[in-house]
Amino acid sequence: MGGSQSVFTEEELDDYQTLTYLSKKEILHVFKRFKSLAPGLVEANKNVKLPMSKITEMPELKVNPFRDQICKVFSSSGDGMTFEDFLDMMSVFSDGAPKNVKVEYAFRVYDFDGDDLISDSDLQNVIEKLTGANQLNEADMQQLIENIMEEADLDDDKTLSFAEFEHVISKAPDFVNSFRFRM
Amino acid sequence: MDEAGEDTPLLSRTFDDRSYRSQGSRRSVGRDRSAEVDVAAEYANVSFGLENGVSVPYLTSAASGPGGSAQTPSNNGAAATITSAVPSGYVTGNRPYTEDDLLFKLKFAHLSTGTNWYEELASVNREPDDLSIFIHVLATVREYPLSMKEKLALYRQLRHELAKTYEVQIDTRQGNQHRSKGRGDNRNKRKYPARSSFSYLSPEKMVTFELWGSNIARIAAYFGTNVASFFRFLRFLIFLNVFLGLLMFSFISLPQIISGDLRDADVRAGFFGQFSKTIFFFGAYKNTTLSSKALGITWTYSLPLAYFMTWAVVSLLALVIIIMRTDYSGDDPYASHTLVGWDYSITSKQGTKIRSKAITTTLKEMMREEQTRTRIEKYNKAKLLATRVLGTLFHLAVLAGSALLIFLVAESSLDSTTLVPDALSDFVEKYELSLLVSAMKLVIPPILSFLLKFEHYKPRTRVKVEIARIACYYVASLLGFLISTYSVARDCASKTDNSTDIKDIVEDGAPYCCWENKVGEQLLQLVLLDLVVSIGVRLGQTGGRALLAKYLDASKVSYEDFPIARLILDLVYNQCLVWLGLYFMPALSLLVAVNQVILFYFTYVLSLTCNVPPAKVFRASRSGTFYLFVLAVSLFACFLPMAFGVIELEPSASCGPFKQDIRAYDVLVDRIGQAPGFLQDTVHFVSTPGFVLPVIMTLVFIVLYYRTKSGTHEREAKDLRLHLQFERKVQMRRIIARHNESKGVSAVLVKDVL
Repeated sequence: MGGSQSVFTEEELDDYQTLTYLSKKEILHVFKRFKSLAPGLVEANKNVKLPMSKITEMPELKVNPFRDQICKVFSSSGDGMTFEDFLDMMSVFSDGAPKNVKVEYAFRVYDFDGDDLISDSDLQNVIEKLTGANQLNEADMQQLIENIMEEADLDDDKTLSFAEFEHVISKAPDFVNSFRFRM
Repeated sequence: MDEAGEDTPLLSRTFDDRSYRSQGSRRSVGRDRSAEVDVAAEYANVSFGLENGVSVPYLTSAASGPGGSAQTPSNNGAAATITSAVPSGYVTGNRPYTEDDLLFKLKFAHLSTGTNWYEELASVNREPDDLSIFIHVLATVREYPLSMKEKLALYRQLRHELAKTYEVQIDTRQGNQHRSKGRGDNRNKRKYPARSSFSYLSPEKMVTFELWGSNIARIAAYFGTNVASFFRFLRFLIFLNVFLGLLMFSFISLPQIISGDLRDADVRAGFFGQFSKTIFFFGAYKNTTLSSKALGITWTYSLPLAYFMTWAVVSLLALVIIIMRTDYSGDDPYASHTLVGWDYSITSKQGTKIRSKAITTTLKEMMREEQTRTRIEKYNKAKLLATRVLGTLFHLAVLAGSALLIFLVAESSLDSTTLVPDALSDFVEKYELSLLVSAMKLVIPPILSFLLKFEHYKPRTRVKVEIARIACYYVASLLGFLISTYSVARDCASKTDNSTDIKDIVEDGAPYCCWENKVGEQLLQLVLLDLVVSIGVRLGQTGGRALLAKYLDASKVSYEDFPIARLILDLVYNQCLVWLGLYFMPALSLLVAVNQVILFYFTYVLSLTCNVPPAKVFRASRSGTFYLFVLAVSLFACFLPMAFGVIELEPSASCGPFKQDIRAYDVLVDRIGQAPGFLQDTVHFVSTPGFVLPVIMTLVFIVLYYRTKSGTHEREAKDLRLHLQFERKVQMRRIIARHNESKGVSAVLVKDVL
């Protein structure tokens, strides 16, 4: 196998480009990054499924407190990531991905129990990941969750649905800048 | 999501659009759903009556009946989500599977894994020839939360399907025209649906050239986006200055260059020597009208008029650009510190640690604030109020004092010309004013921030008060500076009156006076000095501290935090100089842009080597808005004395485009002298304070208008809240109805119960 050019056919690249927010050059770069996580395995089979432990070696994920959630969201099989899963992830975290797509995935990242709602316990999880465990005392934590709900929970059902989450995010123009990886 | 049994009353469950949706999407389409929709629709109609007066705009599509199915849902914003949350076919009896249903299901595709989407798509109720849904899905397939595998499968099938259809259509519709394309034809045909015909299908690879994008990304990776926002702000200012500078150049300088008169022979070398005579400064511009014959018409270009108008337009444009960029929407501090708190672009371990610490500190601080807010006693409040009033008064006194000091020094500098000029005093005399202003800029703000401690503001308010006060101080000192340089103008005027006692007399005895140039020179001096001083101070302070931290005991001396607020204020100060100097020095904004580019790289390198991320999360979006707001206000504050100077002061007689006018705006009035009477009247009216004042009022109004835009967001939230609550009621009724139905109770009875 010569340059990475020959890994994909022109048509495959075309399709990937249409289905992601990346250019062909970026797609090849993503592949290079994917390969660097486990050169031997990927060299042998480009469709190999890498275990999560390999994926989280990536610098962006390595330091990210939500790395397990991110892997969970983007893994199509649940126990590892193929190149296509990886490409999906990089596409969502790219500069080109629009806000609505990023919000969608952010919601899923913060939805720890996967019930499609962000509940008290999800929020507590998010805060603990952000601050590190046991940084806030119980009272502060409860107060904080209460305040967040007060702001964001519009229908007073003590959970955040996607619409409510989207509404909160829409007020933070900064979100698009912070929900991305450097290519 | 775990589904409870079909007929269990799910009263305890929360119902919003998504849970409803996911519930629906689990079921096979069409089965059993039509019945529940029926009931729901009934109640929806009833509720419309009940909820009188409550506007629920999103539900209009439900009321409009089955006809609404052709509407194309978009994926933007909450409103769109909700439109599709209530499928438009809600009211029909035996409901077909509509496009909206499918698109909504697709939007939450991750909840129904294992679906064959192509089959879903094929089962949509549509006209046999109507492929619009196929095309739409094909165009938007990358937006849906499907895995790449599913996307690829769907995409390829769709393309295949469309290619078939479109090839037939091409042949029938376009006939020979298409075939005549020859060899390239084949390839085009293969890709036709995906590439050529629907060009919107291929991802718009907009090559957005982002200047310094990688530098800013690197900063963001290390410090987080809030520090990056400083660099973005700086970049915005550089772009703004270059843009304004180019406007000034093309309408003022370029005509002058074309005319060939690069220097006015009458203009004398000033502070910057020969440089002061160039078209960088006001003095070099002529009061001539260029004319040339082309296409049988004589084209004229009045330089003075162009000068005046360009300056006015550019200043207004700057204000408009800044105000337009400012976004006054409110924010949710708690939600945004947590849900938008993490910066995914950080890649360094150190950066992560600091970010996490910063978030913790901020959250704790907010909690503490929350708890103390209720605890402030009454007499404490009074005491606090007194301190704050005192602090504000002191602040105002400092403002007035500094302005006065600058003014006095400026006055005395005019008298001190008789002193023995040895090297030092010569230097001091030359730089007196700008040195003073720069020195005060160094000394006073730290005092102001120190005193702020005693006023016990809440931490976040304090940062804002601090920035606002220091910005006020900067503007005040600059105004003092400008007004004192205006006094040179008065001096000039008196020279013209009795031209005997002044040194500036040309050999032939005519008085020479070009005060605009002098003001321009002073401002340029200040710009340069400010660059040198701020670079020097930062090198000494930040670099020195970093050196100490490196070589001394690290526990005693730590690296300095990145001082965002202070640096932003420096930029605002710098920009104020541009607002003030643009009239006297058309090229100033370009020079300042160069200056800012230097500052960009200097700060970039220095911060990466000698700074650590700030210990507090000062959120970028909000603070960015606040900085722009400070910038807009300072521009506005600088505008007033400029307008005063240009309208009220007599332009110097020896140089510049207005040398023959009593007032600069006369060029406008004169020009209109040749125009019809009504225009003349208009312009005379325009130049009176009676007009200028309303203009200012209008500007204030514009600011207020944008301010109120924040209200829109709140209204949106209110609508959304009402809608969600309303929908939940409908859902609850539906569940009860279904539950009762299964027990044989008629829905009508239930309706009465509710």
